Amino acid sequence: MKLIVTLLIGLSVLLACKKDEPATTATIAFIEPTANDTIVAGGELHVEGTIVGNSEMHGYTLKMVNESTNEVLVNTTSSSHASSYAFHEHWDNNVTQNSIVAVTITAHLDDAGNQATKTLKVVCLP
Amino acid sequence: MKKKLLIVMLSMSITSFACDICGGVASNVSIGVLANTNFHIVGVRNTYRSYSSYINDIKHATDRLFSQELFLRYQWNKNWQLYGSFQHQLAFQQRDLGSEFVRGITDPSLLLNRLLINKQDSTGRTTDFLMVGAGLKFPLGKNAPSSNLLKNLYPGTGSFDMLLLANYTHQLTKKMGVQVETSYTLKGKDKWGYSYGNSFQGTVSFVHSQPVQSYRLVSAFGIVTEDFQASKINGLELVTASNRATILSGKLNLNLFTNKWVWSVFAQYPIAQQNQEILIKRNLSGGIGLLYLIKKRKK
Repeated sequence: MKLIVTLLIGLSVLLACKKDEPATTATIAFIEPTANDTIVAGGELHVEGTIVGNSEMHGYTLKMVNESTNEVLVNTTSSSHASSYAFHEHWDNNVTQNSIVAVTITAHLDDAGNQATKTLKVVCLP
Repeated sequence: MKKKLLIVMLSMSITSFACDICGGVASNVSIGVLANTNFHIVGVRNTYRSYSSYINDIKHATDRLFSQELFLRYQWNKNWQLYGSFQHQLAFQQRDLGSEFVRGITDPSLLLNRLLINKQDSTGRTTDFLMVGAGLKFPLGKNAPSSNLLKNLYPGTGSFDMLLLANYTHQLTKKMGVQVETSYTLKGKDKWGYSYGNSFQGTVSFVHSQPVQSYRLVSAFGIVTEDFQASKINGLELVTASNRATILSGKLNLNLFTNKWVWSVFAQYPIAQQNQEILIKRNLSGGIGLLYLIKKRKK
């Protein structure tokens, strides 16, 4: 009986200690927007897509930068660990001059700083 | 005692869950708990609902809604009763990259019910019971235009809705009965011309009643089917984000009758669902309730 209990405890400790290997690659796919889309004044930049890794990732960052002014419009990070993510965020176009806005998704593959990145650009009208 | 059995059965709590994400707040109405005609009722109910959103089968967000309801039932005479419901709602949306919170008073509703059939056998036991009702939901709760991405989390729809229902109960054996309830809700427009689609709900429940010491436990299990038509703007059906859905759920309901108090616990779980917005799925819902029964004076 003692042996069984010991084995069960040992097994549960082993299982509890098991860690997923970090991802080495990730595929980032935008559903929206499409590259070079034009967002009218007051319109909404709708960013939606998926990140699928080959193992557990350590979060991701969604960033939007107005490349015409270098203003960071959105910079938000998720630190949740998962092998896939779906992102879905919005930003209201309030630029005051014709602007190129770069939308960048960065998947954090591990804690060592390895990343996968994808960027697309849209045109925002004042 | 036999008569009391059906009264208890008719008093069982059938709580339906409005599909906020696929058809608006308080889409359907249910009077299961109020189907008898022997009491005035004051009750409170706390309900939890949850929905998950998916993009390409990857979970994107989870919505959690908590509602606190006060409901009153006034039994005018043996044939007519008036039912009022007032709720407050807390809604949370949790995403990877953020969260949202909306709270407020929901749209109250009033329902007038009429007893049509109350057939009894030779021993005085009610064997068949049919009640129909009609009512209105009033747009007094906080609401938002359709351009607001969180519209479905708001506690009000901004529209007058007409509520129709029928509730039939048949006693099968001394301890077992079946209850069938259908409701249909005609949705009005909000001030921006948006309207949720009309919705239907049908429920079939088997009800079992048994004594537990000096109390009585009424348990019910059944199937709920709900259909939500597409939302419209100025009469035109939406193609995307239409809230169109059909959902089949199983439900379980336990009620403990202790003299004038009724304690209830309920849960509902989707067995199958088809949302036009395939991104959204309803999860387990449930809640607890407490009713106080006030014996009506004979008129």
